[in-house]
Amino acid sequence: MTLGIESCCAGKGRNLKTIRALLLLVTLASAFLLLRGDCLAGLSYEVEVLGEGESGTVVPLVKATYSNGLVALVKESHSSPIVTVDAWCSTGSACEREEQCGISHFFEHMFFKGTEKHPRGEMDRIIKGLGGRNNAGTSVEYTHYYVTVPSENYLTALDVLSDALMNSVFELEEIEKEREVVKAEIRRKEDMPASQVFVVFQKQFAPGTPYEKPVLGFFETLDPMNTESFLGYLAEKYRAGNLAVVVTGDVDVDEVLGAIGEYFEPLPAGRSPYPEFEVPELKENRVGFERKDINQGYMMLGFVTEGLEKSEENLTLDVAVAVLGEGKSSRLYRTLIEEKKLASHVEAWQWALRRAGVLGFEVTFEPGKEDEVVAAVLEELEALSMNGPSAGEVEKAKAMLRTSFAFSTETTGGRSTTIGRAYVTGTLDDCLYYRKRLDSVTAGRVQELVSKYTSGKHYALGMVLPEETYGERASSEE
Amino acid sequence: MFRIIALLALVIVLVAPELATAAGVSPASGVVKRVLENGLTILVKESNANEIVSVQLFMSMGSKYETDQEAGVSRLLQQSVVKGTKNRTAEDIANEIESVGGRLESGTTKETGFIQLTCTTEGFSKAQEVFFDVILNPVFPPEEVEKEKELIVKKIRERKDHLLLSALDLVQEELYGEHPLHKPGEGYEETVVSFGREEVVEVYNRFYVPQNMVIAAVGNLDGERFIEDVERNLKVMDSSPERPTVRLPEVCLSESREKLKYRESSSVWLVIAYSAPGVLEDDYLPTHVLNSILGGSMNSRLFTELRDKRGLGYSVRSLYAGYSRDAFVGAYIGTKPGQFEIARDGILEEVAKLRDEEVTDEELESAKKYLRGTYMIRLESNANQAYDFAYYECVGAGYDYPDRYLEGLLGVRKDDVMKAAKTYFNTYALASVLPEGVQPDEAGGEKSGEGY
Repeated sequence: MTLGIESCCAGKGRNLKTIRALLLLVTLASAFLLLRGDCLAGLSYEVEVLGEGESGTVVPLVKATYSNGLVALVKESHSSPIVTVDAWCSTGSACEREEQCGISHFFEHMFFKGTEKHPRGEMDRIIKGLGGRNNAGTSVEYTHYYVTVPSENYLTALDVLSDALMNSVFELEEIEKEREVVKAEIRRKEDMPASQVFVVFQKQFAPGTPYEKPVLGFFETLDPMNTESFLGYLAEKYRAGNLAVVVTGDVDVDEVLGAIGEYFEPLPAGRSPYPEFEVPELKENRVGFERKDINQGYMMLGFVTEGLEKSEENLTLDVAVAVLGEGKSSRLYRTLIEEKKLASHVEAWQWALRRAGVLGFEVTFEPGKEDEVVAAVLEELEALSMNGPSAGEVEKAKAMLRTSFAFSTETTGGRSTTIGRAYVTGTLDDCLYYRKRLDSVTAGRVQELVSKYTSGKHYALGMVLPEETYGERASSEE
Repeated sequence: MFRIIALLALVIVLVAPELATAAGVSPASGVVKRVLENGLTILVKESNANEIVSVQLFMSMGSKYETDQEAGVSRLLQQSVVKGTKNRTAEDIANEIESVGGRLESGTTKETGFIQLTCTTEGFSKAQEVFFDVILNPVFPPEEVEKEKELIVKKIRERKDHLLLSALDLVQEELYGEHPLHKPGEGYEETVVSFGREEVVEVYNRFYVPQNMVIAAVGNLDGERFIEDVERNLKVMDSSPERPTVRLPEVCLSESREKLKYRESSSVWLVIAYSAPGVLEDDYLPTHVLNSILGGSMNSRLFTELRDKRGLGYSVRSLYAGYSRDAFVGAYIGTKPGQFEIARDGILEEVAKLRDEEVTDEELESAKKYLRGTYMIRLESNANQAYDFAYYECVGAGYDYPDRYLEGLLGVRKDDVMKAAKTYFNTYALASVLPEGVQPDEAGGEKSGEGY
């Protein structure tokens, strides 16, 4: 599976990819808005239909590009009277300056806290009245805000969402209160070893780059943030060229596109550049750990892969990951849980970012057994690098991935997440042509990639360990 | 995947009752129900929006049907049942299901056991053969049962590493006392290690009886054909054993109780629980609405007061454990060290306000709207529909409970909610997992000082 790390919505989701755009044209000056009768405002936009003629739950996908650079992606479906409106911004912890660490996530918490048009109480009242769910998530390279509502309320949802995206006022009093909430979230994570282990891992896999920083930030960097910090961040990041609005479900495409053009008219054009950095190859195995008063050991082991900007490997790595860790018949499940009985949980994933990715393994294991677990994982990787997967394994992996894809795009919320994440990570084509692209993955290519990234390569390892057992381990090694 | 299931189970246990639909929508209306001669119930709903199928088998079992010595035996049964049949080894089962892209998961809630099959339409007919085989012909190889025991013990330890779940387990021990729902679904280490293959076979024979089984399928499948397939495969099951029953003592908390567990941690984890009506009992819907007003959403009172206005914590919510009877309603918070009393008093204050003051019309209406809306969102998923139809049928509420829930919410009046608040918001059980040695006034959260 592909990993999408998000705070807030605890999201490990499946990441899909993209990019070819199937033609179609039409430049509509969206001057005729049905929504507000006499209102003739609105941005003009060009429309393309993506993935036409493909089968699946995310196609055909209508893409509109507005005159200010904003992109809208709409997937209409009418099986349930529900709509998800999901705004994606290409910013996250990797896009922050050193002293701003955590601002993307803190900013996301300040969402829906009031604008001039909709002051705090009024905004609360409207959201309450929507009769649905709203939440948000912040990751390393993107942040998104979504609302799932009965379809009759979706325009109201779009109205408050767009207003909050452009016009939040960030009152100091609200900032002070929310700062405590964000700190509580950091502490909460520290109490959840299965989550904390990722923070420990992150420090090891891309040292000296923005990828090593925790999404939630540090108390020290959060403390000085004030109204100016957020207004500055808003002006810098929340520009049309960084934003995509995804709408899925029971809507009329033309109505949605017109409404987006109207609501987002004041959105400033332009985009903020992605920071310049490279993720170096690891020169040694890097190990970090924390000790806690816990019963089991938690680890993340990962190898650095090429970033999405360079690679066409996304789905091949998905297949590799499925062969290794998806399901009870997968190699790592059989070895670590069934045969060696070292672990109670094992998961393989890839985490694809722009400048680098991770082929990673997450294991919950018996105290004191970390060395054996690492050795067992490396052994499986070596076997896969040497001999490749069998044809049957590859077919099984593909079948499981197809099922996962079908289930993860079953609901409007699932579709908006899949489409939005694929769009902001530049992998929309993998998502639109999922079946075809997956079919073309071969056993040989899987072997090649696993070998390329793991044979003779160094790994990053993060662990959260029970206190006493690490002592035992250290002394037993002497 | 285990973790996902565990999480799912938690979400369902805690949040399942918080589900709802728009006016006029009737999710159960397309369901066909058939009861076989041996008593097994089949529910099918065809839906062609996607190329997927979800099947859920539910049976009454779990903590509620176990003695204290048997704690966790249902979980062991459910984990072992997919580990080998007369026709297939554990590895064959996993391989055959996964080769067609399917997933077979089994587990328990506190009052049910389930096996769920999810699959694409394409792989469904092959996957269902394995599903029937597992139900009918498990052999419980001793070495597989031993392996599952060890795995459950590890899960019990892992659960203790999750401090909120730990606090939730503790509060139920306090609240339920002698009532069988006091036990965690996984059981206790001592009980789990004491089981052998015989106990597992015995509970299989007790719970896997057709009168106790409901199978629901939702998705892109041929409904009539599925019913025929179930009948052909499972009609051989003996109709004579009766559904398991259990006599439940009353949940009686004559005075409030607090249980603190000190442990190294970065936050104070605090849960407060009140006994509350289950789905089958009077006052369920009003209490459900009450729960939503208290802390069921990001616009609830607890969220607004404790998180938004006072910044006391990130996780602040109420919860409603949706058991069929003898449920509980409660609230939890994760707050910083030293704030145990502030957080506890904050929650108790909000509860008292609800009990002693009238809720506003606006709050009532938006809670009802929220519950209906979120339930409709939940039922977008075939797997959730199959889960709910089978679950409600199994616990005796009827597969069409989702429809009655949505309709019933509309009729909840302010008086009903007020009455529920006065009835249930009285004595409470509290459990907290918190770091030792932090003075309440040390707002910075540094670990120093002694005692509380």
